[in-house]
Amino acid sequence: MTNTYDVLVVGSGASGGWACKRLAEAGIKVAMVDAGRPQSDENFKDHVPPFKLKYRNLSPELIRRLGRGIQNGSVDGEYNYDWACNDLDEPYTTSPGKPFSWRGRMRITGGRTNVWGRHSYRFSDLDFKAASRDGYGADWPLEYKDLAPYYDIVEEFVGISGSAEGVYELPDGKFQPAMAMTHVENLFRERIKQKFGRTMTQGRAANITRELNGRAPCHYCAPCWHGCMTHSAFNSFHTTVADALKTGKCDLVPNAMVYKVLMDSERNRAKGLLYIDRVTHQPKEIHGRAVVLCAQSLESVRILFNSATRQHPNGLANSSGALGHYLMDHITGGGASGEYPDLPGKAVVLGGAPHRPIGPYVIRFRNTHNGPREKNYIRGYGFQAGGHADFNWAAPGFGDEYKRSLLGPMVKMGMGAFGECLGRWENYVEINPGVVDTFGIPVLNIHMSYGENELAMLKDMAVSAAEMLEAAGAKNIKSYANPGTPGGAIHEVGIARMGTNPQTSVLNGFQQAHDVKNLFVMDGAGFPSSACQNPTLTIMALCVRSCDYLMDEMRKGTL
Amino acid sequence: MSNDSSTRREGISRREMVQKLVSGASSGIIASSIGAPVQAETRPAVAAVENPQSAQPVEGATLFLDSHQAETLRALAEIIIPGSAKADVTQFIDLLLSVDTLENRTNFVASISAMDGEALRDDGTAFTKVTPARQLEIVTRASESASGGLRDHFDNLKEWVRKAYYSSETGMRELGWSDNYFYDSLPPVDGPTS
Repeated sequence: MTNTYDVLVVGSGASGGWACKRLAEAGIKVAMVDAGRPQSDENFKDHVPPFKLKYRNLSPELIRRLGRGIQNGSVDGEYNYDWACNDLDEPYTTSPGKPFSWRGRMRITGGRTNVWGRHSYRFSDLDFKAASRDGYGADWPLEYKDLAPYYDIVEEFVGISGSAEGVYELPDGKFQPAMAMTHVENLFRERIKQKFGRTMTQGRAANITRELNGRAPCHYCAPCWHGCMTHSAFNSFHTTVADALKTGKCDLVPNAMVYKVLMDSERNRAKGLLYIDRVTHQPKEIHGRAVVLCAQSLESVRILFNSATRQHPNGLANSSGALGHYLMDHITGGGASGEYPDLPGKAVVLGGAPHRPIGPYVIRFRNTHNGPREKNYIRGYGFQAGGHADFNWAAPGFGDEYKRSLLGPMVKMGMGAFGECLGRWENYVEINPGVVDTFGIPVLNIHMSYGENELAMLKDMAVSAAEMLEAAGAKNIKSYANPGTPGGAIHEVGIARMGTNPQTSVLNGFQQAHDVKNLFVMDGAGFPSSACQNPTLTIMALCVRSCDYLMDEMRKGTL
Repeated sequence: MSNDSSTRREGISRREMVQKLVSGASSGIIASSIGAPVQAETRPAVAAVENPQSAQPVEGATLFLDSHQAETLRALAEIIIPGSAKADVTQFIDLLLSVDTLENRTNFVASISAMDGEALRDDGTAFTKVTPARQLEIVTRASESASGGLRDHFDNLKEWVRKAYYSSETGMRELGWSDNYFYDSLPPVDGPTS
C-alpha cells in the first residue's frame, strides 16, 4: 500500500469528512489520518434502555475511574465513554485559577459528529463584519455572500430540518420540513413575538425529516448521541467519510495520533506527517503534496506547535505570533425555567413515545443589525430552549401516593443561552514542554478565562429569559447566571485565525497558512470571532469552500 | 402517536430500513484502510463494565452493604417506593455504591444508620425488627421533618430508591416504556403535548 498521497487530511469529523469527500470525489488521492478507531453501526445504542447497562449509566464516578471524567458530558457515560480519549492517557494542563474543560476529544471515526448537538445555524454579516461595526477584534476575510453557496451545498447534503424566519441575524437556508414544536413552545413563540418582537424557531437540526441519499428520516427515538441506526442524524462516519472511501481514492489511516507536520525546509513546504500508532506506540510517517489539518481547533494547533523547526521556531505557520492566541468558547450558564401548572400534558420516557431530537432556538435579539446597542456589552447570544411535560419528580412524600403524584405531569419551559466570546490575546494555548501524553507527544497548556463582556452578557441572559417566561405566563420562574467552565460549550475556535494580513493572522480567507502554502487548517481554529451560533455548520461550509480553492491551486500547479 | 407496525412509508418501513442498514454496516463503510480495525482499550477495569456478566454477585450477596444494611434498605425501599423488592432496588443500589465515591458511600450509610437510630431510640431495637406499622411511622416522621438531620437522610434515601426503581425495567414500564423506538411523527399539536 502506498505511503504517498496528494493530500493528507488529519481528522474525520465535520471538516475532515468533507475535505476527504470533496477531494476524493474530484479524483485526488487522499489519506484520512484519524486519531480514532473505525466507527461501526454495531457500536450504536440508540435503542438500548438504561436497564440493559450494568450500572444503568448512573455512576459518573465509574466513568471518571475509567478515565473519562472530563470527557463525560460530551460522551454519555456507559453508553459510549470509549468513543472519547482517556483523560489520564492524554492529559493537558491549565494555568492556576483558570480551569478549562477540554471535552469532545473523540477517538473514533466521525469525531465529534458522533455526539454533537446538531444545532445548525448560519452566520450573517453581523458576525462576519462585527469588528467593523463595534470596533472590537478583527473582521473575517470574507462576507456572507462568499459563503452562502457553500452553506447551500452543505445543508442540502447534510439535511437540515428547519423553518425560514426571515431574520437577518440568522439567515435562512435550505431546509427539510421542520419538526413540530409543542403546545407550550408555540404559546411561548407567539407571546415573545407579540411582546418583544423576538423570534423563537424550531431548532435547525442536522436530523432529516425526509429520506436523503439512502438515509431514513428521523424516527423520533431521541438519543442521537448514542448513535443513530437509521443514519437520520448527521454523522460524518456514514456520510462524508463513507462517500470519500467509496471513491477508492481515499484511504483511512485509523489509530494515528499525529505528532507533527514534516517539512521540506529547503522548499518551505509540508511534505508529510509523523504520527504515532495508538496500538503499537510506534512512530510512522506518511507523505503527501499538501496537508489539511481538521483535527479540531486545539488538536490542530497542538500539531502546529509541535511541528516547530529551525525555520519555524515558534511553531509552524507562526511568523505572526498569533498562533495559539484568541481562544474562544461560547459563554454558557445563563437562562431561566418556569412552570405551567394549569397546562395539562403527558410526560413520556424514551422508548415509550416519540421524542424530538433538539428543541427550539430563540434567535439573537441583542445588538442586532438594526436594533439599539446594549450599554454593558457588545455582540449577542441565542437560547436553546425546550418546553414539555415532565414527571413530577420533586413530588413530596413516598409510597403509592408518591408514585401517583409522580405521574401527574408538570409542563415546564426552560432555556439556556450560548453567548459570543470575544477573542482576547491573553486567552491562548501553548505547548507544555514538561508534559507528554502516553504517546510521547507534548501536550497543550491552556490559558483561558471569560472577560467582562461575557460576564455582563451572562447576567442579561438570565434577566431576558425570565422576562420572556413571565410574558408567556410561566409561574415559579427561576433564573440563573453561573458561568460555565471555559471549554464547556465544546465550541472552541480561533487559535489560528484567518485574516488578510500575514503579520496578524495565521491563515488566509481560504484557511491556507500564510507561511506554508501547501498547509491548510480547515476546522474551527481559523475563526476570527465566535459569533453566538453553533459553529459546526460554518466549519463545514468554510471547509468545502477552502477545498475548492485548494483544488484550484493544485490545477494551477501552485501546490 | 404512531408506530412502525401501523404506518408504512412508501416502499420501505423503518424496521426494514434498519435491517438493511445493519446488514450493510459491516461492509463497504471502510473501503480500504491501512491497518486493521482495533478494539477499544482493553484495560481490566474496562472489562467489568463492558461485560455485564462478569463480577455478578452471588444471589443475595452484596458488594458494599453488609447484610444488616441491605436488610434495612430492603425494608425502607419497599415503603418509599412499593415494588422495590421485585425490582431488585437494593441489589442495584449496592452495585452502584460499590463503585461510588467515599463521600456518597459515607452519606448513604449515615442515612441508613439514622433510620436504625430512630428505631433504637424509640423501640430499643433495629429498624428491621420493629413492626411494619412502626416502620411506617418512622419513615413518615422522617419525611415530614424540617429540613436538616433526619429529613435530609430521608431525602437522600428517597433519591437513591427513586433512581434505582425508575431506571429498572419495572419502573420504566410504569412510566410508559414499551420498547418501541420507532415513530413516524411527533404528536399532533392540537392541545398540550410533551
